[in-house]
Order: sequence, then structure tokens, then C-alpha cells
Amino acid sequence: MSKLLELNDLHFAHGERTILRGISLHLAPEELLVIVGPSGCGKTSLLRLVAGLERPTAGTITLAGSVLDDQRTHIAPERRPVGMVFQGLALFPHLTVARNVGFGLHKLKKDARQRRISEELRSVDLEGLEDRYPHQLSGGQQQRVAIARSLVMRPQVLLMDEPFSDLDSSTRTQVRGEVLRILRAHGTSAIIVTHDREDALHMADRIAVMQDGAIVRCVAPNEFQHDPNTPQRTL
Amino acid sequence: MGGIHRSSGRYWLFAAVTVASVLLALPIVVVITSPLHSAAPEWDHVSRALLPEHLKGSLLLLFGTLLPALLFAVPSAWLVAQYNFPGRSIFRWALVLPLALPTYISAFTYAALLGPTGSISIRIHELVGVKPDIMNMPGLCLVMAAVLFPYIYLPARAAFVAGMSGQLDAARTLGAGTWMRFRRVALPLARPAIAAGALLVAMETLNDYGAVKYYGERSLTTAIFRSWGGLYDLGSALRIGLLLLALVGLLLGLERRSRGNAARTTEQVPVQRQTLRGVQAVLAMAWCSLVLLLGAGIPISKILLDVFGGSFPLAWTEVFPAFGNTLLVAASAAAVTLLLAVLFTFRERYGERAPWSLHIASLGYAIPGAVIAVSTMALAGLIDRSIMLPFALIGSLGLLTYALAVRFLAVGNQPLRAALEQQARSLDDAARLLGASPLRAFLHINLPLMRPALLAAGLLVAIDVIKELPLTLILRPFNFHTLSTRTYELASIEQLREASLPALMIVLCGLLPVVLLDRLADRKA
Repeated sequence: MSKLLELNDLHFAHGERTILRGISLHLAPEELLVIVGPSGCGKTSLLRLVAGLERPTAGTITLAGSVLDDQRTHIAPERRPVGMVFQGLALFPHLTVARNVGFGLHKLKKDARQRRISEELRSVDLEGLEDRYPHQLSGGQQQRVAIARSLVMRPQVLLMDEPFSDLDSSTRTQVRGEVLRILRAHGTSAIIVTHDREDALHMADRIAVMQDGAIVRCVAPNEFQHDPNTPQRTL
Repeated sequence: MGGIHRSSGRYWLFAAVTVASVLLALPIVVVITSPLHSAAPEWDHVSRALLPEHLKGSLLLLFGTLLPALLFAVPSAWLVAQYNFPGRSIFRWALVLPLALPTYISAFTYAALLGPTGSISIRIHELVGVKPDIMNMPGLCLVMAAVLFPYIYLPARAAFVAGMSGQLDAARTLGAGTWMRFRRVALPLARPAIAAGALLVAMETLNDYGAVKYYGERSLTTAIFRSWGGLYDLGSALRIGLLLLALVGLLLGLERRSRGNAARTTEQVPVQRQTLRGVQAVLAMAWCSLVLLLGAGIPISKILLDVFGGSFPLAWTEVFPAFGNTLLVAASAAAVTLLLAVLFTFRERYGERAPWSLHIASLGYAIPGAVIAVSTMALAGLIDRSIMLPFALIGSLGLLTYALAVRFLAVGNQPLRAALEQQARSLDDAARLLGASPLRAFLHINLPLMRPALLAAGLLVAIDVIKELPLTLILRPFNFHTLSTRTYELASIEQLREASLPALMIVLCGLLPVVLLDRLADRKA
């Protein structure tokens, strides 16, 4: 299996507190890797390191052969070909759907920008909602805006932090199906963080289990499902 | 946030913010280090003859004002927060109105009524043969407390409204009566809010010049004016400023300590108000009416009567130049302060550890205007002498604007910081992952979301500038009058009726932030 993203012996600490210890992981092109683990185990910190929002205390991060982070190098988040969908989505409340999606395309000419926005909104079934504000959308629609805003930048890797945590259980299943369809249709490589077992089983090509800042297992979904150590609902 | 690369644009902007903060911190540093660098030829005389009496005056004024201010504020806040009684909904906001009055204006109006030649004093003298005189230390304290008590009333009301309903209900089920609930539960829980308000009252009291001077009393602020204006000894004025600064530091320390030991509650459930009836309702209404009358009713009525009742000796057109100058100073100071506040908030949001100068520069509001004025004067004098251009800076509008920015930066900064704290960090992160530089993220995401706070901050600074007196009095350009200096000068030559027109204009300007402040306090509650 070829490796698109590679994390090698990553360590991360906040002052005296160690958050990640010796994480080594890889992500293949078009692969969906789901990271599961209890709250506070370091899942979100791991995503923030990959995004460049935090800097590892040791270890390397390589994307498509280029070093993003090591002892000497740190590529700033705005220069990384990495997108992220945040927990709570972080949509810009004062911008319309179209301007949220087009925020990162400011270097393109207006026509090209409009075209890209329209294409992206079409691909996530949000045509006609360009002029709405985030608060005028349903939870599922907001979710798709957040994904479109990241995907329109053509990131090599998409990071999703608890993407369905704000949704109730009935819409959660529906939105999860839509998100999976979009990611597969775009051929996106993604790391998805969740503490929900169902999310992991439905979306993952591989599942990595984190505990106390370390990866303890990395297995296929069916292996994860039949493991007697796996909790039945949440992790 | 660790590990963000500095782009060159941001680096220069951060450097500019650091330079600006150093410039703003300079007057404060000048005061703190004054014994090391400024000669004070009259210090011996000042420290022996002037200082003890003026220090005693400041301390008397401080405690003499704080006690009645607490007495006016806390029971009123408790009544309005916990009970329904006739007029409660009006008292709720009207009790904030005294804040629209600068202390010196209230002091002039009370002197015109109850001073030795006041109209009410003369009438009472005719009737009973005794002439009341408010122009002494107890009278001054009462007048100051009547104007400044809303600084305590507002936070106390907010604490009584929303912070403790569960505890009060629990106390009730445990058999506690009204007095016990107030004394044993409500007061301890509201103590941090009351202490914070009392600190503001104390700082305003120490800052005052116009009222103290007019009533012929002594304080450290009037000592600064005497040393600088009477003895022409800037060095001694700076040393008195240092003493005043130490006093403010002591008060800040006491307030912080009281906050540290305080019981905390995170409850946000509003209280269910009880309805007062009969004598209790009448007493509650009478108390709130009395406080409102003393703080706003009497002085505002007197000003309105002077301006609109009968023939008025001062033509409106005579006030227009001062009005124009006031607008000019307020607009330029608000613009500069707001720009600096925006830069500082950007630095705090996207920078790493803030430089020391940023913290010092934010202290300006705690430092009396007269202290900032004399230290700014010392600095400007140094520069003027070194470039051999006397009065290039001293007496310039630029210097006044700079000193006002030093004094009111915290007023502009606070609403912006509060608004920024409400914005999730993930918004910045999202913008940056979409390719935005920190500056672009700030300008396109953070700043537009702060628009109401920007408006509020600009307005609050402008109004504070309009009301400000001691600093403007010292640093204004020659022959340059603002509404506050015009009011003060007319009153100090006993032209109290003439002073009422500029005073009215200041009060009208002051009403705007009072309403704003009241709404903000409610939102917090």
C-alpha cells in the first residue's frame, strides 16, 4: 500500500503534560482512516498536529514525500495542502454559504472563483442555498457547507474532528451516509476522529484505536467489530 | 499557539504594536521612575507642608465617599433584583443615570443650591435662621457618592439577579428570613462584584479634581496641580503622582485579594422576584426615589431650570466653539484609541507571549488623569528641549490626544477583548487552514464579528473624553476650550448659571453610554 501521509514517532506536550507519545501512522491515497478513543486521549491534538495548528515536540510528519514537520521544519497551516472540518464546524457566521465556501479561493479571479464554488456546492447538493447564512441552514446542510469549504481547496488530506457530534441520532445516520458518499465521490483521503463505534464501523477503511496518547491498535473494521475488547456503543 | 511561522508582514505589524505599547507605557514608566530622573527643587517644602494634609484629604475623601456609595448602591440593587414594587422597572434603569453626570458638574449644582450662597440655603436661613453649607468634606463625599454609586449598583444588581437563585431558595427552605438571606448568602456571593464596583468608585474619587478644588478641599490630585501650577515644580508633581499610583496599586491589590477568597457561583438561573405590598412596598419605593433624586434628579433639574427657566445669560453660540473643540478631541482620541485597541487585540490573539509594555499600557485607566498629564508633560518637555523647539509638543492637540489614548486605552480595549473571547478559536484555525494569513483571518473573520463591540468601544472612549477634566485642563492647547474646561472655568468664577449650558451638553452626551452600559450589564446578568 502506497503512503500519502506518514506520521513517524510523534510526540507532543503542553508544558509538563504529555499529550501524545510516539504516534506512528500512515494514510494511503483515497483511504478513510478513523481514529477512535475515549475523550481526552489526544485524538484532536493529533489532528491539530497534522493540520499544523500545533507543532510536535518530536517526530516527523510527511505528506506525499515532503516534510511538513520535523525538528527544523514547520510548514504553517495556511501553506499545507490539508483541510479540516472542525468539531462544531466553525462556519463563519457573518458570511453567506457561497462566501464561506469561497473564503480560501481569494487568489482566484472572480469568474474562476464563482465556478469553483458552484461546482463544489453542486457536488454536496447545496445548490440554491448560496445566499443563505449558516444559521438559516439545518444541521446536515451546515455539515455539508463545512465539508465543501474544505474540499474546494483540493486538499490532499481532509481531517474531520467529531464531525457528527452535534447531530441527533436520527439525522446523524443520514448525514453520515451523505458525507461518506461525498468523500468517496471526491476520492478524498481523510482522517476522521470520533468516539462513536457506529461512525467508525460505517466509514472506515481502517480503524486506529487511541488510548492515553498512543495508538494501541490499527485494524480493519470487521476485525474491530468482532474484537471482544471493543465497547458496544461509544468509546 | 506553538509553531506558527511569522510572515514578514505580521512580523512588522507585531513590531509596530510593540513600539506603540512602549510609547503608551512611557508616561507610566516616567512616573514610576521619577525619583531617579527628575529634579524636584521644592520637594522638601512639598513633602513637609503640602503632602501630609493632601494625603489625609485623599484618604478621608476615599473612605468618606465609599461608605455612602455602598449604602446607596447595595440596598437599591438588592431591592430591584429581588422584589417587585411600584416603579421597580423604572428604577432598574434610572438608578444608572447619575453616571451621566461628571462629579464636578454635580458638585457645582449642589453648591448652587446648598452652598453658603445657595438658593435653598438662603431660603432655609430666612425661615429658621440656620444656613446649611454643603461645601465641606462630608458634603463633598456625599455628592461624590450620589454620582458614583452606580459603579457598584450595576455589578451588584447583576450578581443579585442571576448568580444565586439556587442558593437563596435553599436558604429559604432552611428557614432563613429576608435579612439572613441577604446577609449570609447574597452579600458573600456578591462580594466580588461589589468589590469590583467599589474599586471603580475609589479610582474615580482619587482621579477627581474639579469637585475637590471647587469645594476648597485638599487631595493628592489638587497637590499635583499646586506643585506644577503654583510652584512650577514638575518633579514634585511627578513624585506626588507616584504616591497616588501606589495608593491605586494598593486598592487594586485589595480588590484582587477579595476576589481570590470569594465564594463563587456559576449559576445563571434568574431569580423569581417576590412582590412587596403595603408599607414594605412604600419603603422600597421611597428609598430608590431618594437615591435617584440625590444622584440625578436634583442636579439635572437644576441644570435644566438654569438653561430653560427664564432669561439665560449665555447665548448658545458662545458654547459652539467649545462644543466643536470637544467633538474634535473626542473623535481624534476615540479614533487613535480604537486603532491601538484593534492592533493590541490582534497581537494578543495571534501573537505569542505579549510584551511587558502591553500590560503596562493597559493600566492607564487605573491612573488618575492628572498623573498621566504631568508625566506626559515631562516627556514632551524633554523632547521639545532636545529638538530645540519649545512648545512643539507641549500645548499641541497631538499631545492631548496621545495622553487621552494612554488614559482610555483600557476602556477601548475591554469591549474588543470580551467580543474576541466569545469567538471560537476554531474560526481562526478554519480561516488559516483555508490559506488565510493571521492578518487576513483577523481582518475578514474576527474584526467583522466584533462590529458592535467596536461601536461600543468608540462610543465609550468618546464619552469618557468629553467628561474628562484634569488631564484636559493641563494638556489642552493654549486658549483652547472644551465643554468640560468651559464648565469648570465658568463655575470657578461663580458663573454657575452660565456653566449650566455646557454642563447640560456634557450630561446629554453622557446619557448615551449609560443606556449602553445598562444593557450590557443586563446581558451579562
